[in-house]
Amino acid sequence: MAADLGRFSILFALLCAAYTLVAGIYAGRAKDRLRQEQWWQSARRGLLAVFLLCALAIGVLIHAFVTHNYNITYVWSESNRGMPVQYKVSAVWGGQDGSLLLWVFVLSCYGALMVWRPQPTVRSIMPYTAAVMAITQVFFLLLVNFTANPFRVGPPHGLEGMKWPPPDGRGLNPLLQNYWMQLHPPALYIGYVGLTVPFCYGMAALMSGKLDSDWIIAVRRWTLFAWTFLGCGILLGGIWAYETLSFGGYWAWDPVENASLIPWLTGTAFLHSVMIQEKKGMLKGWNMVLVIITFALSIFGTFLTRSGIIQSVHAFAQSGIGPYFWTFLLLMIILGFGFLFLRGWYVSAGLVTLFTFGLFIIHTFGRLKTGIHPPAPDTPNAPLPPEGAEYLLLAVSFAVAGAMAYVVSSELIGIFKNDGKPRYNALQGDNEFESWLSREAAFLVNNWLFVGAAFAVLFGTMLPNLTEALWGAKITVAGPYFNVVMPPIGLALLFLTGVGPLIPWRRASPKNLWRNFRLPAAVAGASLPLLWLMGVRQDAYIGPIPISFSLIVLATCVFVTATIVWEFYRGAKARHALTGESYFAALINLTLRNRRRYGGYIVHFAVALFFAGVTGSMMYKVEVRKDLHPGDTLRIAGYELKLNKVAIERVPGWKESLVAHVDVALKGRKLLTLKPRQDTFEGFGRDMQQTPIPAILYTPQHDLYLVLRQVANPNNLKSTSIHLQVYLFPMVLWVWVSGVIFLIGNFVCMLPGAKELRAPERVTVKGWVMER
Amino acid sequence: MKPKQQRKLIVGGTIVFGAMTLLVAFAVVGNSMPILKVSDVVAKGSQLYGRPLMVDGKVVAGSIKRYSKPLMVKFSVRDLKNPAVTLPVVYRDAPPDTFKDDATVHLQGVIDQQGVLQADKMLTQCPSKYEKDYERLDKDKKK
Repeated sequence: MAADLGRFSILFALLCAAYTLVAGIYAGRAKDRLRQEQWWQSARRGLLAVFLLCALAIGVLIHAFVTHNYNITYVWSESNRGMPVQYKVSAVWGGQDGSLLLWVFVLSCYGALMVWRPQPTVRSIMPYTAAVMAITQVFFLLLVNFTANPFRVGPPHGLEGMKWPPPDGRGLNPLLQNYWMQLHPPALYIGYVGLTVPFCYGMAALMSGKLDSDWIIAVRRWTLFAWTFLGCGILLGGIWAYETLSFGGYWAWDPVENASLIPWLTGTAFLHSVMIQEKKGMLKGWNMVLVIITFALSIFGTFLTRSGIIQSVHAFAQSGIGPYFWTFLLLMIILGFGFLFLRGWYVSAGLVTLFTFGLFIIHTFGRLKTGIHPPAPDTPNAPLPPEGAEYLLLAVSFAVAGAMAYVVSSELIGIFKNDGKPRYNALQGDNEFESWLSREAAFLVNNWLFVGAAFAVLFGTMLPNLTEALWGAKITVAGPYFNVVMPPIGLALLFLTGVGPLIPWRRASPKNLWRNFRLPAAVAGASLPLLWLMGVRQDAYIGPIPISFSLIVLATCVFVTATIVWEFYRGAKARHALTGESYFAALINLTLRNRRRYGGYIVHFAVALFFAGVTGSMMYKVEVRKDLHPGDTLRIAGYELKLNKVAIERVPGWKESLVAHVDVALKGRKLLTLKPRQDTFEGFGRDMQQTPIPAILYTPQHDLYLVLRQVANPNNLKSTSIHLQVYLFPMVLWVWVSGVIFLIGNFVCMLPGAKELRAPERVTVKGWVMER
Repeated sequence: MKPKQQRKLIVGGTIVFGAMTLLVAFAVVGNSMPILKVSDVVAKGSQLYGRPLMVDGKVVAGSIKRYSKPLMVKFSVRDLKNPAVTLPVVYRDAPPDTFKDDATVHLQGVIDQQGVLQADKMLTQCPSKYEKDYERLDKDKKK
């Protein structure tokens, strides 16, 4: 019964989303004001309905997990009775089907919030916003309903003989049974999925032709919110890797990690670039392109993770979901750049649209030849699409080709009738670019660097697929490639972080630059010898980045911090002089009255801290390994570690752990007992899967990181020896702290102002109540 | 936009994007390695000596020999498609705990003069039991 309820709710959600798509387009194109209002209200209700139905669906699934409903295949495959209840909940998104449902649910939340109380300034484009949101919802709901349905009932294929419903579940991958699993995917999805909202608004602006800055201003908080969560989600993934994977790293340039970073990079560019459009009416075209590619890259990212085309430790089991993503991705790019073409960017957007359409045709005809099915016989998962799904794809291709031909020819006719001049140039900038030494130029170069970084990461990630497609041989790059490419670009961006907020608009004179930057530059310069004295020099050094480069990065971090401190100081001093309040109160009020600016400074400080932490953690590491019996000690960098005992901890029905109790002392004084362990989980763990879980002591200068590598004699714990691996990683804590400061700074930026909290005005037209 | 302005931007853009492209090219050339099948490695033989590469294979059942002083593990991997083709491997560290007979491994290392893969990095995937359960569910749909 639960499965039926679940299946019904996602199917009906799909229907509502499809309806909203139609209603939204109809409302957008309606000439009559009343008709527009009526259909918009209907579309709005459609998205609210989708939200309610998706909430029901995920509620049903969570309930099924918590009440051990193993009749549902997915619940069986991702959990078992012995698991603690909080992991039963997070197991909902442990596999492909459930994680897609989570995506759909988060998307439906955003859809509902987007249309709940839209800003009056963008009210006229809301029907199109709803329509574009609906297209995305339709796609993901199609996937959830027909290719990865979490409410499927019955034994999984290959195990038909199984007793059904089974008495207990199979259990969850041990690496997912920790609290990071509860935080990281939801945070990441709130970020990833949230990038759809700016795209909806941008597309609506393009489709309606209303290309002034209203959509930019309306979309600011959405973008900030999604971008913040994506950033935090990425960092949470890093902490998870650090605390669970026992290799002491927090980032491995794994394809799935990169997939989340790439849209974050272009999203950062977008976030900054829109400030220039707001203040100077420039970079309008750039902002459109950035919002489209950020959305496209977020879809591509989730496709990379799920389709199995890239080899990764993170990837879900291979599935046949790839072709659907390609279709959707290519169609959305065609939609975005197609409208950009229509609104005046004839050459560049036209070329991109044509190129993407070409890819789409190749993809379609490729599928016609091979059919849409999972890649190889020994890869698992996912039901087959219906017979002849390829022909549906072909039909869609013809429809799109026809629409494009119609649109292009009518556009060309329009130009011809207009004496060869384009009909639109709403994307033309209102101001001109005057000098390289200006804030406009800094932001433009900022865009270039972020987009370049994003594509460098994308290139490195996709290299095996590219070389295989072109030459049949797979060539890949790993960490070293990224360690060569990213630091220089990162340094340039870090430098801009310090320079950008202070450099004047239009044209900066040398005198002006000197006045603005002499103090921070001096402080940064003075920090160089200080850093050298503190140990940032060759003899202590082992990392992959040259020491001179690390020094420059750290000095630049000091530079950025100095500019920020100076800005806060100057602002607080001015306020203090003006209002007489204390420096402390002046500081608080300054921030609260200029939330965007000073919140932004806090975020920039977090960025500087992040760079410092990452650079520091790559500078050196100390590693000691030893076989220890109870009572033996190990010395590392002034710490003395004594193995107290080895014990077993059991949680019946869930897991069994071998725990080494290690007393940590520094300079003779005992600090604490660290307990590195090896976990073996029931169900999944019947294959004797032991997962080493490190024990970590966090301090500002370094982390003491213990891994229990081997227990020589698990049957005789009183006298067994263990192989203990101990690391000292410098400055890793700074990275996590920077994440917290990042969150706080963005929170300050997002706080609403007094003006915005005023209630909207309501007017009545022909019996219909509308909000102005 | 005035032509002079446009020219400035094009020159600037070319410099910045050009620099990034050169950086990427330099990084790829210096740090790329092929992902090979075990059969490729065995077939190419001496051509590959001394060059870093990545190999995917399955651990041959019964071939694992673990040593503690010095800490290392010796084993053979076989080609994923062709079980007859094998390659000897040495990995000088404690292997991941999912490492056992028939595990799928992803290795990164260098082939030495004796044709043995000296592996620097090893990743194991969860045992195939997890994957085999879910295959085509077309039968399921026809119910």
